[in-house]
Amino acid sequence: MQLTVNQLSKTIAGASVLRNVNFTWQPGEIVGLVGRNGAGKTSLMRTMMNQYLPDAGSVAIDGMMFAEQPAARQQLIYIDPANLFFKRYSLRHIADFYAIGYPGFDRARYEALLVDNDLAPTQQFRALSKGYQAVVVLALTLASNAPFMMLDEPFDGLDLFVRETIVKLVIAEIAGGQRGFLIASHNLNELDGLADRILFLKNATIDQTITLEDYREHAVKLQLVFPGKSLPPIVHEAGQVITISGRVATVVFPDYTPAVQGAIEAANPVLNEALPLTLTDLFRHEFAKEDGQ
Amino acid sequence: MDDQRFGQYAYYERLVLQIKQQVVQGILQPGDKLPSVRDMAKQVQLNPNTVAKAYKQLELDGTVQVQPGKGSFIAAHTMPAAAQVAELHQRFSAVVLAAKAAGVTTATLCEWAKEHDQEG
Repeated sequence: MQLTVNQLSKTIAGASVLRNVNFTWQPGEIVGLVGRNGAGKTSLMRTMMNQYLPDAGSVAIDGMMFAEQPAARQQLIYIDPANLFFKRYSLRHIADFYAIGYPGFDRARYEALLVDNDLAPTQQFRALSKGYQAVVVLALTLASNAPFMMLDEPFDGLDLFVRETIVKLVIAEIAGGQRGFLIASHNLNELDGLADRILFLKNATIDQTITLEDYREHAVKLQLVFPGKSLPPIVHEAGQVITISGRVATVVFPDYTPAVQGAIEAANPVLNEALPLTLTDLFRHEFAKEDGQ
Repeated sequence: MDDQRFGQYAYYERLVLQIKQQVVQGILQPGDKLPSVRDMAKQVQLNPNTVAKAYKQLELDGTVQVQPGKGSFIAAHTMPAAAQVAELHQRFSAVVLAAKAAGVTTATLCEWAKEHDQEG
C-alpha cells in the first residue's frame, strides 16, 4: 500500500501556497513535515483532503486517484485543528460523525482510549483543556482505522506528560506496521527520534528529504580553533559555520568523510572537539537560506 | 538515551551503546530478556524502526541472541571472536595515534581507560 502525492499545486488569492509537491508515504512509516510558520504544512494537508481543491496534481492510494474514486479517501484521515466542527458536542456524539465518514471506525477502541486518559464519553469537547482536546483528536484519528493518518502540530503547546502520552500512542500504533503517520511541525526537535524521514517544506514546495538517522551517522558538529587568523578553506567547502566567537568556530559538517577529517587535521587545529549534534543546527541552516531569496 | 558522551551518535548507535553499557555494568545479565521492539520504543520514545535497527546491530555484535518467536536475550559471555578483537585493536590503535598526535599523553589515555573500569 502506498500513498502518492504527485505534482500537487494550489494557489489561493494569487499566492502560490503549494508548488509541485511530490512525495510517497507507506504504512509503517512516520514522515515528518517540517517548515517554518506559513510554509504550507497545513495547506498541504488540507489539499490532500480535498478541503482545498487542488489546481493541479493528484493524490492517490495504490493508483486510485482521490479525484476519481472518492471512496479511497476513507484511507486517509486529517482532523484540522483550526476547523473543529464538533466542539460543542459530547465526546460520544463526536464518534457518530466519524463513524459515518470512516466505515472501519472502532467505537470500542475510541471509548477505551478516552477512559485510559481519564475522559468520560459524556464530556463536552470544548470544556476540555488543550491537552485533553489533543488526546481526543488523536483518539479519533486512531479509532478511524484509516491506514494513513495526518497530525497537524500534535505537540503544540502541550505539557511534558501529555506529549509523552501522545508519543507513546503514536509509537505503539506504528509498531504494528499497518498504519503510517504524517506529522506536521514547525519544530524539528519534536520529531527527533520519532520520524523515519523529514520532508522540508520551503517556498511552498518540498525542498529536501532527510533521513535523520542517516544524517546523524554522517554529520558531525565540531568546535574548532585554528592557529591562523582565518579558517582553512575546507571549513567553508565542506561545512556550515554556525557561530564564530573569538577564535572558536562551531561548524556542522553534513558529510564528514575521512577526506574532510584529514583536511581539517592537516590544518593543525588547536582545538577539535565533537559536540552533540542538535537538529536545530540543521533546521537553522536549511531555513536561513530562505531569508536571502 | 541521555548519556552526554554519546550525543554525537545516531539514535540507534546510542541505544546500542546504552545496552552494552548496562551489560558491562551488570544491570543486564546473560539470559535477561530485552523488551520487545514495541515496548522498548515506547520506553525510550524512539521510532520502532530505530529500535529494530539497534537490536539487529546488537545481534550482529553478539551482545544479544535472538530466539525466534521468543525475543532477544543477552548472550552469555563468550570468548570474543579473534577477528572482532583484531578489528577493535585496530580501531583502538587509530584512536591512540590520533590522540598522541593531538598531544594527549599516555598517562591521560590510561586515566581514560580507568574511568571505564570504575563504571564497572
